[in-house]
Amino acid sequence: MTNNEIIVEVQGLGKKFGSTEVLKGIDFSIPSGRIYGLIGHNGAGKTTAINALLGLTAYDGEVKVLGKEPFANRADLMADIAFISDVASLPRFLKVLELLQLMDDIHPNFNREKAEQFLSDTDIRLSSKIKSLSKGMLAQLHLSIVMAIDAKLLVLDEPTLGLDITFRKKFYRRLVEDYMSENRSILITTHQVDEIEFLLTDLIFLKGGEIVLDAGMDEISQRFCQIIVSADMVEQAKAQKPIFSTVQLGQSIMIFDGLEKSKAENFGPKTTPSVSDLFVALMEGNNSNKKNAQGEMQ
Amino acid sequence: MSSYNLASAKTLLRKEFIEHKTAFLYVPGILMGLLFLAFFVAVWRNGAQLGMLGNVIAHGEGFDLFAMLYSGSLAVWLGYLTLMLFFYFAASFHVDRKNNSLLFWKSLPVSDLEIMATKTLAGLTVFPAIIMFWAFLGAIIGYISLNTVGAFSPVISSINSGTSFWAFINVQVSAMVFIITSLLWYLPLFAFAGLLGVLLRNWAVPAFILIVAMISALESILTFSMLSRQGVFEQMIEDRLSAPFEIIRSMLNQPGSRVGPDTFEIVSMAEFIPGFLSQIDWVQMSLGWAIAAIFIYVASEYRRRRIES
Repeated sequence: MTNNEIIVEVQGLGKKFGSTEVLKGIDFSIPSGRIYGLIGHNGAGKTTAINALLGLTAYDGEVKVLGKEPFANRADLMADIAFISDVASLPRFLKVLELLQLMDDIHPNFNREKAEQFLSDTDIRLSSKIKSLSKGMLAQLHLSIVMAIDAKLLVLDEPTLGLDITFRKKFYRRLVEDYMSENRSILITTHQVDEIEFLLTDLIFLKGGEIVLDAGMDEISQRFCQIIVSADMVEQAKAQKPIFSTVQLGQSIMIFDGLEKSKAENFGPKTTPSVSDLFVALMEGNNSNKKNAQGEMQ
Repeated sequence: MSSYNLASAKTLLRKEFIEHKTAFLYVPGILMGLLFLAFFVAVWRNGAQLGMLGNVIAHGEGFDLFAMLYSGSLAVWLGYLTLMLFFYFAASFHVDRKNNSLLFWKSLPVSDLEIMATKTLAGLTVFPAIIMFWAFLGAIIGYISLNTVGAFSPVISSINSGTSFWAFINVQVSAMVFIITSLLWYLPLFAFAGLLGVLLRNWAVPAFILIVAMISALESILTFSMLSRQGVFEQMIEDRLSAPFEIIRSMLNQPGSRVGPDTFEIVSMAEFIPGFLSQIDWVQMSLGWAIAAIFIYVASEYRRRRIES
């Protein structure tokens, strides 16, 4: 596979549960060598979108993963895709050693030595029964298993849920240092957005089954700015229609989409908003001023 | 195509064994241990009375006590195996969803149909093999027990023909053919229990009984056959359940049968196997496999399409 090959291509992805439309015909693509963050509130459609990519659920629209339709080719695709949708899903009746053996026998791209190497950095013993492991250990084991798979796409749905901060940081660092390569792509959903900001190359924000932002981090830093607006410039800044504004400790803070650099500098100190600030801005910002960020891009 | 092959099939069969070993390995072992313990306690406490038992059963000629006891124990094992397999199919087809491991298995390059087919294969090979192992072990302990009893009872000692090894081989091979054929005959019922397990989970067994009873009742009402005769569906279920044993019964009742109230000679596998297999309705057998395949396919499709717990 060459660099920048499209790993995932989604067009008009829709999904209904009864009369509830969870995904409303979304489009996006993921090239190789990128780390995407799929961010949204509970019920925004993140997990449904991921399940569609993984072939776990039927859907409307067109989805291609590694050139194949995932719902019809899940088993085939799983040789080149690794995923964790629930860290508590490991078969609890097995021992760790039996799980490694099982993976070794079944998965053509599983590297047992690598998994044992990852596990050697943990307190997990190979002779332990999986059901005897703590929640944190279960997550460590599952992540070790997944990171030992030579996959082209790694999908992590809330991979560090319930884990302490030390392990979360260690895991994400290892993900970048030991796992990521230009031939792979990673798609992550998490509520702890700030912790993964440093590793993301691209962001997709989902709201009510629709994409409200799909952009690379470089583009985001150029396009969005957060300004602590000087008291005498507040009215002028408001006239530029910020997508979000708030007052904290007596200071007006506004986030703008596509504000000209010359104007921004007049209003006050300018920074790039953090992913979590941008998320809040786009999800809960001033409805009257909010622009459709994806529409702006197009 | 997925990367499912012989190695992954073997691994998944081993996984089924690990997951369900309590019902097929530990419980039978404990039960057999208890039975033999009770037997030895009985011998130790009432050894002198065993001579009476020998007199009762030794009034016939050509009586091979070991063959008779072993055949009887195999019938019990078959009953246990069939019952446990019924529960195995009803539970194992949905156990991944129940124990929250469904998403893990779906992360492997194995299709849902391959998973279901492996579960079915485990039910027809691994677990019967374990039960046959227990039967085999029981036969060895039984032989030792019989000789122990023989020490207390010259009558039993004399009717134990001394051909036990040959008896064992004949009974064992004949029983294996009978058990495997019977399980294949019951396969559509097992597969239906599996399908109900996927659809209704813990309610599969009561639903199985309820559905069979409801169809029978509806047929009786619709055809006004409540009192006069058995309905077609009811007859079909009864035939499906009893056919292997009916064949055995007809073989025993044949003129010249060497197994009866006054005689129990060693079962000859050379005579039994062709005789038994020739009486199987292979059209019905094939039809059953086709229906089982449909049930298993539908169950796998349901599993493929639903990941919600």
